[in-house]
Amino acid sequence: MEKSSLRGGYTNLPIQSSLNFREIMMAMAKPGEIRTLTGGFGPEPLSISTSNIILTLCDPETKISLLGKYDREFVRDWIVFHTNATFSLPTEADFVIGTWKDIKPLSQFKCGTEEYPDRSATIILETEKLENLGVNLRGPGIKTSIELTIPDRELLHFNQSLYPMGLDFFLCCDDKLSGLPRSTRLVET
Amino acid sequence: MQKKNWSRKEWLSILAKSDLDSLSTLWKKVQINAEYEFFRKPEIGTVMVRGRSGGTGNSFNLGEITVSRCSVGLQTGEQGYGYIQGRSTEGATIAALVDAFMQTSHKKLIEQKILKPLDAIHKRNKKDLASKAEATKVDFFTLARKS
Amino acid sequence: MYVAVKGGEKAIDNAHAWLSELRRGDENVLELSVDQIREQLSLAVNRVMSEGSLFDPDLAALAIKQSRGDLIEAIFLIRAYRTTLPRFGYSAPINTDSMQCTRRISATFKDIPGGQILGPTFDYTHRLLDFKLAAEGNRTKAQSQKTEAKSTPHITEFLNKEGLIQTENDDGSDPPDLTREPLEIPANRAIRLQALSRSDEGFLLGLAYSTQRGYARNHAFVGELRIGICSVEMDIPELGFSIEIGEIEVTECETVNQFVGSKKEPPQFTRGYGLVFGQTERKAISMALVDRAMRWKELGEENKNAPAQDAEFVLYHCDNIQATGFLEHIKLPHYVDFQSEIELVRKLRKAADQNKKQEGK
Repeated sequence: MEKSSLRGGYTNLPIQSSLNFREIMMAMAKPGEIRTLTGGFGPEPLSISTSNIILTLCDPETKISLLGKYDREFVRDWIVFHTNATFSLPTEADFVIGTWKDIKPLSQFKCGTEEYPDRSATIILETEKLENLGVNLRGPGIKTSIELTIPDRELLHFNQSLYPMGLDFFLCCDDKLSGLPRSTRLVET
Repeated sequence: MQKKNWSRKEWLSILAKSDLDSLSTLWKKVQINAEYEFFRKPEIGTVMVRGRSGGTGNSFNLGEITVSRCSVGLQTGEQGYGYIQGRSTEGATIAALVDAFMQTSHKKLIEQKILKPLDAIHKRNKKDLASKAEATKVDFFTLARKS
Repeated sequence: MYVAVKGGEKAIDNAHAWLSELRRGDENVLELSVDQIREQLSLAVNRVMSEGSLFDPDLAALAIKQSRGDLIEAIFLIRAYRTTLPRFGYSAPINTDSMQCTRRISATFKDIPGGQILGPTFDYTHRLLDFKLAAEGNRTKAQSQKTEAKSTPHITEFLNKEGLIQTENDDGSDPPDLTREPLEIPANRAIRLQALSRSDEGFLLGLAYSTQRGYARNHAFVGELRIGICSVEMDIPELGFSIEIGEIEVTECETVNQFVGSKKEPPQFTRGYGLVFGQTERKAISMALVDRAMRWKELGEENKNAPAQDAEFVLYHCDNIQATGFLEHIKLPHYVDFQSEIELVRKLRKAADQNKKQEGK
């Protein structure tokens, strides 16, 4: 294996993964707020925040689908070495990693079932920019409203008709992270 | 009986099944020192063991065993992966270092001073067990019937 | 309904301290070490490993010590500890054909290739208390007859050659895992076997006995019972090949059951299967009987509404940690619950009294 596929795991696993888990959980609990993940790093083109989500949330029972430029052997090697996760088709994946361009159509991913809405995919969306500027969001976990740069409004429209089923998103840029759960809506103007 | 050349799969298996006391003692005796980095710090976890229904049918999950593992990189580039049954971060680290040094000029030394003795202990234990079992094998006496 | 009630902290601390003192017992008696438990109470250790579903003799011995010998409490400790460990992956199915047997017997054939090996069994002991053990300790050494370590083929394979026994084939499917997905009914055989292997020995023994006494009788013979060491092999993704990552002792029981045939299957022998961690033969035989009883549907047998045939009943009640958790929780404070019950009974009594009075008029 390439050294780049072996480096970048946690040096103090229980502490680092717990700290990041807390951040990731809060990102979903308070959509739109921007948080920082640290500790691990994967090979390019994986961002720091995506790498840390993988290290913290993935294990042998999670199926990952890598799209576009992320679907590379050394990226797969890194994920396997550090998490033992397996890879699957986009339609069966628990975690999907890609850019906005790669992930469409959204309808191809698991959206859960009426009985088990949690059996759905989480999309880790790598973005070029992540700031509290752009579209206006509302919903559970947002006091009044919050602005965030998102690649496309469709991302929010898609979930609207499916609730309680749907997709959850992490927007990732460098070491920054923001959560967009299925319950988040656009503020209509 | 004694094989001259173990494959990597074989030596990793010998290490995984060895007991910590013997491994640790033998390792300390060879005294190989080198700079290395951890790719994966030694950690303790489990592996889910599977069986087969009826011995040959579909697989099912039987239960877990504890396993420790570690991986290291030598400064010279060789990578070592250690797995060992049970909970021992020390054992996993030694196993990974042994694996790495087996790819260097220390190969002969390690084969002689670590792998060979470990394999011999394992074989002896198996033989002892087999011999005790053999002593409990039933000899049936059959009487010829008079017609 | 539960209400947070404060207080009792000191009482709890002191209760734990007393528990700890009692665990130690009389200090004039030597303290039991974990090594001693592992070596000298090994069948208790095996039971804790099998029902705790974690093969690690040292941990099981520690759990027995901590629980003062309450094995269900020890199993609880093991199950709790297990959840704190990351899982590195799944092994390849162990190959029991290449088991190094320490015991291997058949009740169906006398002369079997490889022979009947009794192993360290209680079977032929007289069940007389041995007072010498109390007075002098244990000194007998095992006999030994030199031989090489070897594996022995399964006995049921000989019936297979004549086509007299139903075959077990692998369709390559990935087995579901009870420890990851909640139990759903109907459960396939892989889930049933996993549940049975970690289930309570006493419960399983009772169920198996019920099938022998006539509740869904399936007339089992022990085709083969073997105990021994199997190596565990796993694919190591970073290496790209598999290695042996350890060795475990298991008990395997294959029963051969008479089967008169059904609409689906010709008359033949069918099988029940038991596979359990450690030297645990009572459990393995019980498992095989109950496994066979639950297979009535796929074999096209009649449903006799017997407990052992009812997979839902068996699977939802065989886990002693689930059972004890729910059972024992009723001793914990239910003060508010019970207050409402009292209110209800008072109301009903009042209404009944009034009815009586009205009838009396």
